[in-house]
Amino acid sequence: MMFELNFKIMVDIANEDIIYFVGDFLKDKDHGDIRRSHFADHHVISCPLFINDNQTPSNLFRLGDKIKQRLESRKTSVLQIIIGGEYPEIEHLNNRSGFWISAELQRWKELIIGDATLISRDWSFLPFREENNEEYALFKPDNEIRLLGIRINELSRLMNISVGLKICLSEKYSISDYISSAFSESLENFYNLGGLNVISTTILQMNKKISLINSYLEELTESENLNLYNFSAMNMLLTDKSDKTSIVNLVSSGILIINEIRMGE
Amino acid sequence: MKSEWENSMPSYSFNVTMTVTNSTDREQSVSIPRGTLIEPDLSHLAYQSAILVKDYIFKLSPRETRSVILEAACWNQHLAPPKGIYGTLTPLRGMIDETTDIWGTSSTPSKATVAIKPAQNAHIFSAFANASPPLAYKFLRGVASTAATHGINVTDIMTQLNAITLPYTNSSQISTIADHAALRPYISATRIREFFIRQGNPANDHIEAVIDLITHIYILTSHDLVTNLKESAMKLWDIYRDRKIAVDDERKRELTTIIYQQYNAILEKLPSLDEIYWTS
Repeated sequence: MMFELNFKIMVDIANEDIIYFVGDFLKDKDHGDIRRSHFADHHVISCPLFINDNQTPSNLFRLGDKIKQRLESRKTSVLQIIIGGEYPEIEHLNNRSGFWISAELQRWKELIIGDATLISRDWSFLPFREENNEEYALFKPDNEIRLLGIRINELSRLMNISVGLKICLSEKYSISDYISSAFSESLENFYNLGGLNVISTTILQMNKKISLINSYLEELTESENLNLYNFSAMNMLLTDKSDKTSIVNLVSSGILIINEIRMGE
Repeated sequence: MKSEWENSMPSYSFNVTMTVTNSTDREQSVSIPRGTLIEPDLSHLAYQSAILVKDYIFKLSPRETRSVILEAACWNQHLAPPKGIYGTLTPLRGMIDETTDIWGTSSTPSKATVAIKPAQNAHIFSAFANASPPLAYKFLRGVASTAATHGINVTDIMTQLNAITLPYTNSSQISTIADHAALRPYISATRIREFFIRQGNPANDHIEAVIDLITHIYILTSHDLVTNLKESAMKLWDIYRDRKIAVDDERKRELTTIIYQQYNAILEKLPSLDEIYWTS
């Protein structure tokens, strides 16, 4: 017996092309109208699938992995794939990236119970396949991370090449230790200025791990995978030192003094 | 051009008040460009950073102190809006010149981000596989065929390669296959150079793969030979980027000729990577 399954792909960028692209990809599948919409400030492509009652979830995860890889080869990031139901809570979506399986698929829940994590009463979560621990290298926040930080930001400054290092943060060190090791040297020519805080929040939010900001200065109790992005990947630029009227260079050289900055007054 | 729909990601606005003093005895022109990022202090990291949404230019008289109000938007989608907290100027700018989608810009890495996996063996092939899985796969099939012509039994290897369906190739899978002892004598920077030469005049995929390949290697090794190659890759990148924005056909042709020259110059230097001692 066939039934209709709600299959939603949350992406960072969506235009008309993507609808045709997803449609073409699913041409061999029995599906309904493919539509685009918004949820929680993200773009969503909804593709209702008509699937057989005895379909196993692994086939659908494989399909999801393939769509994700195909879209990412077109420079579109897939943030979530939501199977069944409406949407998980926004704070859950913000902290993880992968498959979300609605509780309405009870039978499936039993089949994937070994791999999926129950996030709430209504949703189970399964990370995307390539979120593979083996791809992340364990580092301490030492000289090696400092050198890697210098190199990735040099590529950003000289070539505008965007790079993300897949690293695993070691327990007993804080996230702050890592950000500081990787970025302090790239910021050291700018005196009296900040930078590390906005870099930290940007890296965490791009990794969908913004909740870690609450324990940013604390030692990690377990290792944590993180993509350490360079400035260019974070869509950031360092101020050009040759710009004589830039407030950044005037403050850095002591010509201007900032007495106070108040935000949100 | 992006559609209105694509540009519709919201971000909300607030003001930043900055008080500055000109510490010199001469008039000072000051510019604060759109995109400038201002961050909260360390004890208020759960609050939004601010990104300025306008350019500001003003002059300060000698020794003058002045407060200016700057229009800002929030940079962090999921943090709390700041309400009178102290901030710090950063030397960083968010690249929002051509977009109103601030949260899209701050929450998603740039489209062209190259993922570097320090966990993989620092072997030339791992770098190639990370730079371009489809081309590395094609190379590996060629290598296996060559090994077969030399009488090496590559049946298992071919079975594993056949199980991979392009374009779903992932770099870890093909790096694992390339690690097979029977293939190692056939995998080198020299062979990768020959592979690229056989492809003929480089298409965009080839150019990007070669630049990414050098980028990967540069990040993972500090050898002088690689620094030299990185400088060549930088030049190629600049010209390649210029060609993308060139509007005049003659200029495009001219840049294409230079790209080919630069690309071939890099390929000529590629065998030098075989002199590096790679650690795993």
